[in-house]
Amino acid sequence: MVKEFESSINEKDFILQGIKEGLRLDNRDIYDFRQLGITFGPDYGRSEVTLGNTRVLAKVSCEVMRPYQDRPAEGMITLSTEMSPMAFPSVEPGRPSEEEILVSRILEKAIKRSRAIDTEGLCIVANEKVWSIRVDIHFLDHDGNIIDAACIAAISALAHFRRPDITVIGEEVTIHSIEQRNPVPLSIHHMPICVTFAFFENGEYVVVDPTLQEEQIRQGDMTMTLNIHKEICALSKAGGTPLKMETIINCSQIATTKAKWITEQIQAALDAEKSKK
Amino acid sequence: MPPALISPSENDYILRGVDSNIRADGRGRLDYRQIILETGLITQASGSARCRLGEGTDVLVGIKVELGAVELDGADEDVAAIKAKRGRVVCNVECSPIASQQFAGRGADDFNNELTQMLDRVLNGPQGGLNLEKLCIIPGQQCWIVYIDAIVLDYAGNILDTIFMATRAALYNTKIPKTIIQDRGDGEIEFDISDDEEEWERIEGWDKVPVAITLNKIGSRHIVDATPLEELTTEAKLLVTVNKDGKVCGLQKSGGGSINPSLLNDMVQTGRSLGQSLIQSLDEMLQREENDINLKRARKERIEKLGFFAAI
Amino acid sequence: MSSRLELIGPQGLRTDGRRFNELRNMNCKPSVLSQADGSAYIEQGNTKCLAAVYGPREARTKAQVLHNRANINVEISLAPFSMEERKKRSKSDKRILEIASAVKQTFEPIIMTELYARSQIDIYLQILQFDGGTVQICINAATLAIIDAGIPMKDYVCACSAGCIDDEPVLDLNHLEESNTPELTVALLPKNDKITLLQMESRLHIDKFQQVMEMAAKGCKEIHTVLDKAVRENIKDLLKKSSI
Repeated sequence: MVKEFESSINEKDFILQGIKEGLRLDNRDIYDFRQLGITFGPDYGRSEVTLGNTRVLAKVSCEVMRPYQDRPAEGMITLSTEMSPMAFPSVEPGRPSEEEILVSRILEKAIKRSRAIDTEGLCIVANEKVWSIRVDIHFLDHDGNIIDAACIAAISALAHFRRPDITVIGEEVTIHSIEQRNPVPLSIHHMPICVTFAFFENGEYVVVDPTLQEEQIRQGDMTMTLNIHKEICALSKAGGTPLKMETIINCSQIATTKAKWITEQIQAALDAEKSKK
Repeated sequence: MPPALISPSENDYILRGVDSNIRADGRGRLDYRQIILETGLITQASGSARCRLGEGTDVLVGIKVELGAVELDGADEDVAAIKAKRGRVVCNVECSPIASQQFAGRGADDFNNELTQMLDRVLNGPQGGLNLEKLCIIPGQQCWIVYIDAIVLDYAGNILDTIFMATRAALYNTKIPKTIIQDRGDGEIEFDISDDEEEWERIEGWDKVPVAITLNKIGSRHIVDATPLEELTTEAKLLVTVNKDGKVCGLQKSGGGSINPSLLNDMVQTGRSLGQSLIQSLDEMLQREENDINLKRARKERIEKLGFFAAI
Repeated sequence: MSSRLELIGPQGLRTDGRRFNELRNMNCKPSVLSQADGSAYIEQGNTKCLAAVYGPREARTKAQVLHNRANINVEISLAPFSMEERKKRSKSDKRILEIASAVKQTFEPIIMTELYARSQIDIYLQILQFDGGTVQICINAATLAIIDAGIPMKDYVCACSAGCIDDEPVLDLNHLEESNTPELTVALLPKNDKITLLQMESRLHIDKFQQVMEMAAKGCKEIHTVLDKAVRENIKDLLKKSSI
């Protein structure tokens, strides 16, 4: 098992001093996101997101399955976030590290618990057949803030995805192939966007969208998931340096603006993709 | 976690003490520590009980009674036919890492399995005592499944005895909901569960459930209710399960040492008499608790469960 | 899922008879176990939790040794009979692992780990009965147990949950309320009012956010009074026993 590569003390001090003066290594403002690039793959439901140097790929697929017993008229959504040594050299394949559990839980809360996708619309025949949507998230390159990138990738992939059209006549279900009928998009209630903050010097300095080096020297972090309707879908600040309430309220205001900006970016990318087809 | 160690001088000290009938904490060879028994601590469970030995071993047993399908497969047709008319008992013992440093992470898995097997063997065996036929609702289809979950919260020796005592008390506290069976004709039988808690009956046969007495052979004598240090000095252990009528329901010898056949007989007899007196005192404790509760209810006083707040 | 229930009745009372800003009945006692270095038992309403702390002691595996501070390890187990339906939860259930990870990260900056380099502090939590508020009771129980073990901390860590029913902020949700309304769990350091843990899983409008957070912070302060009282009474008992 390889230990994670840590920056030297000089580098850490340099970055910290810069942040105290409001300067970051890549010349960003402390509340700025890096360059966000969203590309959609050749098939439906495949989206690759680049946030600076961080790259995440999300792929959506669907299958007809039996519903859960306690939810007979709802479809199912499964999220899979396996961290491979490709992006995380210190991770052992097969064993979920603590970081992976946190990331997968935050994404689950953001996408599943907040009911971003209409699961009742995924029902085909109650108690027998429902659509089961599976989102596979692959981390290709890790340069900080994989949570935000993964969330954007997952949401844009879900928005881009088209499932095969079906006709239900009585008990008979016919699934039309893509050639026969145009596939149908999923019905998305809202788009939850994660915004991650990193804190330094006992909560005095805040940075949005930290790079890997900034993540290594941070003393605390917080991820807020909001949507464009100004609703907080999920909040996660687990330990790390204690913060004053004003800092948190401040961050929530910033997060609202950022979420709006990111949603607009996703929408623009989706529109561009549609006009291409 | 490396196994607990004992030094040769401690070993010698305990050996000689046992020989002269004086143990490290002043007890005699056949004396139990003070037993505290309390039932009904977990309101969401169908029955529960907690048993604490002195300041040490603490076991909490929670029983949940749920509907389930009858066990349909058996070794052959006769066995399957019998099983189709009974309810089931599922046992599970868990040693929480709270109890001791050895139980953290995976350390407790083997021990848990061992204890679960022992509990299961006794309760599901022919001398288990519980009336499983009464737990059947619709023969061949539905029955009550009694899930017995024991959690070891504190470890200071003599776990198995405590588990049995707590299980027995928890079964005393368990009430099975009453079912009203309606025959709809053409083989379809439906049942309804009565909501009235006053109609629920205590599980039958709880008093016939045996208790376990673990006898530890140290030197040429045997003791009961060993503390962890005494357990490390033990050469061989004998587990005797005895029920209310004084019948020996099970025997198991464990440990690397050997037991002389005459000593073996002695130990079984000791176990038997101790078991019977233990059952008597436990039943008295349970009866006293029940009387207390009824009195308080009659006086409309609040019933307070001490649980962990009981002064040590 | 049941249909929309009335969580607040006509007189403004909740399903268990409390008002919107009342905490559940809370009882706690430190030093309940004989083997652990520090232990505590807490009851918040119908949720019961037992905590045990072992440490600082030698680290179990070389990989977990940190050269300049102590390593904190948290394990949580849920009793199979703790919920309405009997369910045996495996120790690697993601939800439980997440709560354990949250507790560990909450205590890492608060416990003075620099004093115990290369050693390990183990915090074990056992939930005996569950009626909502897992994270908060785990943190409160762990705080008491760590104090009981004599491990130095910078401050108490008190946690409380708050939610929003019918647009009104309410304090300390039980299981029924937690499944039907957004719930915010906050852990606070009472000395300087700083927040160490913040978790929320359902949708809450940002305008309500500040009110709910302030309500939870108030609840934390009330819990701090209860915990502090329990600790002081325990010390008084210990002194009485030892002055024979």
